[in-house]
Amino acid sequence: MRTQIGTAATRQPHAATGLYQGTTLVVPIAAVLLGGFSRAGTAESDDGTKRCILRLVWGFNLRSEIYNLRSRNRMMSKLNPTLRRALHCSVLAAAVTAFGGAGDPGTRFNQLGHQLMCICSCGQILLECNHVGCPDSDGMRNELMAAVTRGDSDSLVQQSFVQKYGPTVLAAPSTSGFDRTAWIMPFAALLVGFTIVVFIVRAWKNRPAPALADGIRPLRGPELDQFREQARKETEL
Amino acid sequence: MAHIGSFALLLALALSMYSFGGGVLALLFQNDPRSARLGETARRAGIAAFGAVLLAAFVLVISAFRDDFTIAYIFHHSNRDLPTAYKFAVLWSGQEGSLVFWALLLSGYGFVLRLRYKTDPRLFAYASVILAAVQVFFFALVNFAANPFGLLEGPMRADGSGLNPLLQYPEMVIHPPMLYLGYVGFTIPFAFALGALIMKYPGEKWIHITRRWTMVTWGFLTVGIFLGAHWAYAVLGWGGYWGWDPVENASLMPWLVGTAFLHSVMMQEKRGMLKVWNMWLVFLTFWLAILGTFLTRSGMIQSVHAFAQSSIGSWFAWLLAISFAVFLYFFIKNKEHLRSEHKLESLVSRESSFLFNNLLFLLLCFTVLWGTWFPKISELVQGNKVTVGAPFYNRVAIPVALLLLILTAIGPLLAWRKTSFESLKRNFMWPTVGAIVTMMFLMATPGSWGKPFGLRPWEDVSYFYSLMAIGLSVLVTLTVASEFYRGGRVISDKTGQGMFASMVQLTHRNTRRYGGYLVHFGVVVVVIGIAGAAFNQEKEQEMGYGDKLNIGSYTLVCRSYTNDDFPNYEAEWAVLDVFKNGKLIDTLTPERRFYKASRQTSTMPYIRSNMSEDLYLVYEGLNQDTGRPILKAHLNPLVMWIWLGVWIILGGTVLALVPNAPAPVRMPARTLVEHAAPVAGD
Repeated sequence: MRTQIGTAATRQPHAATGLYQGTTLVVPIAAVLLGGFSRAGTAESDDGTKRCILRLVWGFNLRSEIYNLRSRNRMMSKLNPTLRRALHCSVLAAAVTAFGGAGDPGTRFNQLGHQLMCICSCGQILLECNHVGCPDSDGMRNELMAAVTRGDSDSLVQQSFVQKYGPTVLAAPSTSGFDRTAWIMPFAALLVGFTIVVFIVRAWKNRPAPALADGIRPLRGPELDQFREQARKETEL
Repeated sequence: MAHIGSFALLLALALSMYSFGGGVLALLFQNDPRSARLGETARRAGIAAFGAVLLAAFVLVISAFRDDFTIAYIFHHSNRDLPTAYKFAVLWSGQEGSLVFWALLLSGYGFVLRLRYKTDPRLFAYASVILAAVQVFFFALVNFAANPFGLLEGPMRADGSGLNPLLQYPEMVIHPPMLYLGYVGFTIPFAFALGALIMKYPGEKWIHITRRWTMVTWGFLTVGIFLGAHWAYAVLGWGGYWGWDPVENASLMPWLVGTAFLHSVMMQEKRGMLKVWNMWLVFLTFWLAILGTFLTRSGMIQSVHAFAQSSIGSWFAWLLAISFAVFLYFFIKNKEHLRSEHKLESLVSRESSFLFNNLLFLLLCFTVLWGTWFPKISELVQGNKVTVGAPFYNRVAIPVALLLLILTAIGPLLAWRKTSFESLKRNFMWPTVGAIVTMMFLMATPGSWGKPFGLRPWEDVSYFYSLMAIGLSVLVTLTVASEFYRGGRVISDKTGQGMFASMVQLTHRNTRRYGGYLVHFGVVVVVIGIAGAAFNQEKEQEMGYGDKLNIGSYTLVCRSYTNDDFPNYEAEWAVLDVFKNGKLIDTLTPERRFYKASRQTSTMPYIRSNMSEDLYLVYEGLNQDTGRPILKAHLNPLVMWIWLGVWIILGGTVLALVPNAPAPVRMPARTLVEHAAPVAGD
């Protein structure tokens, strides 16, 4: 029998976009931004930022960690103190909001149900499977509800589903082993692409200008700007 | 009938082979006086091939209308009671027929290209030959590997198996043709690009010709993709419009690269830069269209579009390999011809914005390609498949799409060569202020106003993305509006016309530029619609007579259930009264159908749309244990904006294709006075 579920919960947005991990995304992003600004280019930056993120994610001593970031901050120290305080407060607010209120069973059911696939070959997310007479989705939903009601952790629920139905039951690759490359590659591509674009831009900027005939001198400075402005006006329409 | 169809396909193959062979010989021996006549016969053979494949397609459709179940394809994809419109759709609803349809569209494009050869006879001769080579491939495929006129073995059948129920929806009559027009159309820019590369085409005229073809094709593909999304939304009944299925991804990849090309081509036209890059983008767009077809028809990648799986994948693999090898050979041979003419003067310029625009489009394309292939790669490396679904794509693609939105706002306002800080400040200050005020307003308003008000980005990362998307959309809209306003004001000052008339005149004078802005605005409207997905709600409930279901501000009350028998299907549906804030506003009838011929069941959701939200109801059938019907309700905010945005994009694309109005002739002041004097005297 299909469980009757009232799912119009306050954290429903997770379901729509597949972006379920507000708890683990907002804080690291903010921490990376702050940490990256504060110690860019220093030897300690990588380890320090990583440590901060871990501590922020796991909720250890948030206030002192942010205080530490601030004390070692170079760029941040140049900011207006009010702005700086506002930034730090926003990080704290994000952390507090993110860690609070993610645990009610309805929300967790909804989140986890959108991270799992129905295995009836319909190719749909478990909670979106509308396959009429689907032989699997009802049972899987009931299992999920039971696990959530028992209070099993997210990873335990996912592991039990993987053990029972195989790795294809997860809607996205995991972040361990070879599956990690699925997540890394797009960002690696961005990095490579960005490097290539920067390289191209530099190469193009350094390209020698075409030689001019005798008696013609290249225009520079205000004179050039004046002609550009004139050309823009004349060609705009 | 089947024999006529088979003969027509064979004839089309022979004609396209002649068009290719004759065309190649004519180009190889251009100094021979007979080559011109040979080239002309090759061109005409290409035109005639269109007639032959048109006949084959006509025979297939007529066979569907005549219920000729001796033809296996008709037996498997049609039945006697199938409505007339869907009998047309039989042409593209199965593997073999859809390949004939592909060949028909390709030949149709070739027909137009070969008729317009006088634009540039030599370049068109090269393009015609390359097109003929692709035609040979498709005609060989439908003749020898996927012939739609194969006869059914065994006794004559009284009725067919019927069309897949999911395809029995009005949009399926126009979605595949649009999508195929897009896919197939990318062959034309490829043919021109490769032709220009082979002949070392002097100047940039080929890129002007190619750009127009690409815009037409891009327009078709855009409409095709969104029609597919709307079909998924209106028929599949899961409440969404994009599921990142491999077939959807296959259509998105060439669209992304084609969009990148439509931007970067301006660099080549205006500044003589990115010649190599554009050449590769054109090739990649064509190649990805074929790769998508290979992915979805080879059965290599699992997809819900299982009807398209078969064993013809190896044919497409060969086409991919050969086309890549040919293109690479001529690129290496003639790459010196593609040297850039100018240098980049500043990082803050239109040129560099196009570079980053291309980087992000290509990155999105790579992400989609990588996600689509990863299950296969995982199987090869670690022996087990994994699923790469919506959570993966959403997490990776949304931030990149937001960056693209920033560039959409910035790019058009940057000047070519170099942009001064003062100019940036002047152009961006008010749009930026507008965007920030909008975002703060959305954050400050109470959630009870409905979505997207009361957006608290710190509550959830999806809210954060939604807020950014809406804020950036406002930024783009204001920059586009400021461009229209500034240009209109200049004309208004010069001519004394009203502002609206000036803006219309401005648009007529540079349709491509302002059509492009309109496309950007359409994209923004689509983005706002997509941002609404962050607030989707859903609720599922068993509902007996008089039971209530509350979702958002709606209350649904079950009035009754009923059923009926139609020639093609049996239907059962629920009758639900919809109340909003206690007032009866509508009666909805979500439906479930059982198609008799195919013996398959399908749901027909009922969607009540307005600009703020869609109430989407699915009748899921009876609970086997209790005998009570199950209903699922979705409340999807802002979905209508997506479909509205597509119309704007389409309008902008059409506008950009309209030739510019001639600029007014500037007459010296004295002449004007002379002309004006007699009138004044009258």
